[in-house]
Amino acid sequence: MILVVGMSHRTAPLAVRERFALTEEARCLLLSELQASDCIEEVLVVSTCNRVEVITAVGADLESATGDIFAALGASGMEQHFYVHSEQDALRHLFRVAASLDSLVVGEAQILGQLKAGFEQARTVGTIGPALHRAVSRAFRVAKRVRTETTLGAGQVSVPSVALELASQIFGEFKGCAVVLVGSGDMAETIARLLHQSGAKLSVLGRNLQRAREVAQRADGEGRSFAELDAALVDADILITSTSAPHFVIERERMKRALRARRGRSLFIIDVAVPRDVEPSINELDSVYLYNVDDLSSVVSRSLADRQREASGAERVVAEELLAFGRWAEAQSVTPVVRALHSRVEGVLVAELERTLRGRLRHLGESDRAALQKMMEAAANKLLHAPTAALRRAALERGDELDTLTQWTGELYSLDESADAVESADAVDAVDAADAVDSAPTTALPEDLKS
Amino acid sequence: MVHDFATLLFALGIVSYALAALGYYVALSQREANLPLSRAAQPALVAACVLHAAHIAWLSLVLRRCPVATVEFALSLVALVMVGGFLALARRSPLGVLGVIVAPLGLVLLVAAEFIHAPAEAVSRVPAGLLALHVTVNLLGVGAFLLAAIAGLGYLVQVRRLKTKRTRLLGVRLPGLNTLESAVHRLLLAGFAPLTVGVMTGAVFAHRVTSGGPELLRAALSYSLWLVAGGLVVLGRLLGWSGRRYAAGALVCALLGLAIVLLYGLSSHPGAGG
Repeated sequence: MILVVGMSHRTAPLAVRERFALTEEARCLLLSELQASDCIEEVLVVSTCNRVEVITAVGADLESATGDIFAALGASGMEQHFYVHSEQDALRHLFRVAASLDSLVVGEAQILGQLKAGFEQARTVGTIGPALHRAVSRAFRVAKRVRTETTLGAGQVSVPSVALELASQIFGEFKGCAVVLVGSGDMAETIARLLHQSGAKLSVLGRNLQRAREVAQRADGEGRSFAELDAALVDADILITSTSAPHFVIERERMKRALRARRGRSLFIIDVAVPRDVEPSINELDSVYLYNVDDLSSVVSRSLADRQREASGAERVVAEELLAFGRWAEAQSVTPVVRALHSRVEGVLVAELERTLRGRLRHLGESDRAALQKMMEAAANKLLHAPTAALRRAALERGDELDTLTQWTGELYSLDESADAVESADAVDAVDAADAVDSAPTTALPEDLKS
Repeated sequence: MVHDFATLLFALGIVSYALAALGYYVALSQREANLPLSRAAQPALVAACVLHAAHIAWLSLVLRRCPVATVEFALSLVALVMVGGFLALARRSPLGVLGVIVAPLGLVLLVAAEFIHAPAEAVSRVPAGLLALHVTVNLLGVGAFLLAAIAGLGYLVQVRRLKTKRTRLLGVRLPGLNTLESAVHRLLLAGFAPLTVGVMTGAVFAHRVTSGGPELLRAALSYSLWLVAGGLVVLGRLLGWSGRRYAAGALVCALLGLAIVLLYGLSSHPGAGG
């Protein structure tokens, strides 16, 4: 049974979350400590700036397991900031976290990487078993489906990234674009640096030339005097303004003069200054696209709203995968019976074949013996296909028929008597090969994690 | 012998005009005046002007045709004055780019003057493939204008999104404005080239328009389309127009082109138009 105990931005303020933030070493210690608990079979810890989660596979005693987790976290007395999910709810929560549906910024991609890192760490420490392996692998699959089947992760959700996206909607690519930064400031410099990293040429204009050169140097650009503003307005493809001037630095008339010399070239102006540096009516001029902080923020808000709308599609994926996982888990309940059945039949056949090969057919060569063995295996698989399928079907349908079938199969094939005697690795492999469901070895890395 | 010399002047004039038109087009499309063809444009137009003048003079003085007695011959004279005036003007101003319209127009008027009232035997000497070439290049031009209009529409939608700040970061994403603007400009240039050939070859069939009706309307629309497209590429270059004007112009060109094709269809199947 899967049990999740954790806290996130939804249940705890930052002041509480930061008390439980775990370093890599602390996570390792926690994993080891929880593994030592009698109630906990498998464990995985995820710690990010927005959440701390302990994901476990436990036996029937949920209460004790939860208590052990709280004790290991040192969270006694702070339970109100934690959530506890078990069984289906735990799986649903895990899938939603992996799909970034539970993130502060819905659709952000970092959480999946953090979950993968947590899984990898737990695997290295040796606290991952078959139950968590299957659940987390399925969570990665959910995240992959959400990424490919919805646009939840598309769009930009910060002012600098939106500015960059808008610039790309005008210029396509930035190689050779002339970016002029007028003034300084964290946000303006971040935008300028991002553009420069994308191949644009950067100039920084400032009333204090020395300061402009320092800012330019940080982004590998060129510092210029503020007196060159008119020339810069003609040269620039992207203009970022962030001065502390209490009035407009770029007025409509000044821009109109520059536009005559620009010969129709597009100009994207990002005015992140408060109060604004650029006269708003400049946006009405042909080929000029002016965005101030409010404009950029409203694009960010719309992008977030779009993501929320896309979240419904992602929730559908989570629900589908939860159902599929449940069906798979149900089907797994008959696996011991199916394995015993295969072992029983194959054991009998192998024993009879060996006896015959030692007796009447001892003259057969190696190739004939191998062919005979293959024929027997194929016949056994064909004979066992129908009862195996019936057992799986009964498990999926969750009816009373399952108990009857299991009981009759055991009696008809004397499985209780033979299970211990004849079970072999080969028989288990044969069942696994016949299984339609996922049965990856627990020590291997899931495909999603590899990619 | 006397007629042969007039024909020779006429043929050489056509070749010179065509060469000049090609040179001016290369200069316009490549934005490069140093290519051999670009450098040859003006001398070729001067040669065309001289040959055109010689043709008129020969017809007037030797064959005794009065230059203003017929409309078509007067048109030829007007074309000569236009070309001469352009050459004089282009020497002292950056208007050389207008040659991309003036040179083909000189050729068209020279040919039209010869063929508009030509006797049936003169028309019958026109190679049969010329009509096929005329139709093909015109259709190519209209096709390019349709593509330019699609790119132009995308440009206008993108401009509106950006200007009104309603741009969305999810969903259908159009190419960048600069990419669309460049596509519109290139497609207009690409369409203008075959259309110019179409206009020049069409002058040979000038006698058809004298009967009026759909032929005259189609010819008028075709020349309007050619002039609008030429005006767009030339004025855009001269005045540094923004993509918005190119996009609007491309839409006008596409509409005119579609109207011409529709008229052609109606005149080919008179019953279809009701």
